[in-house]
Amino acid sequence: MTENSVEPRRRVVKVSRTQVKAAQLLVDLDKRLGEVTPAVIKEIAKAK
Amino acid sequence: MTPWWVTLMIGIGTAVVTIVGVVITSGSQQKGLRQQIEANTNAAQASQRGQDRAEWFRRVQWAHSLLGSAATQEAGLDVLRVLATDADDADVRLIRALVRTSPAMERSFELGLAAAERSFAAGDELVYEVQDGDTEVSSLEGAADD
Repeated sequence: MTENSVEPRRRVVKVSRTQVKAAQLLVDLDKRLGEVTPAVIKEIAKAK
Repeated sequence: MTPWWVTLMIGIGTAVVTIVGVVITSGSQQKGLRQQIEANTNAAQASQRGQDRAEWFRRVQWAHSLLGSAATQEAGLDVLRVLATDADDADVRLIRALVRTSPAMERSFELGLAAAERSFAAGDELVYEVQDGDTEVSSLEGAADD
């Protein structure tokens, strides 16, 4: 590995099951309204 | 000169008439109120939409109270999802506002802000890991920071 090379990093964000559920509901409600969901909420909604 | 018993009889008669008048008036007022209540009840029953709306808002209020406690907030979300099913746009916005301002999502927004504050290099992978229960963890762990 050279000094200038950048290794992709893996960052873990811990969320609760309730947060995922709330995010999924927000995504669905935004879809109903035809509005854009904030990216972070979309990501949380995808968490399994 | 009028005899005393005549005066007494007139007095008693006046009193009886007054009492009967009060009873009739009072009875009439009660009857009026009762009719008014009955009319309002009938109007409310006739307006099924009005009753449904009132019931819908009561359920929203209940779901909102469930969101306030860590132990019941998941149930609150379930109730809100069901209530949103037949809701119009204005009601959906109300439900969305309740979810967004719920304690669970407030933490998520904080979490999102925390993520934004950290500069991620291109190619970084961001993984959301679900914890069992209501975790208080909302920190970012740099797996490759070590």
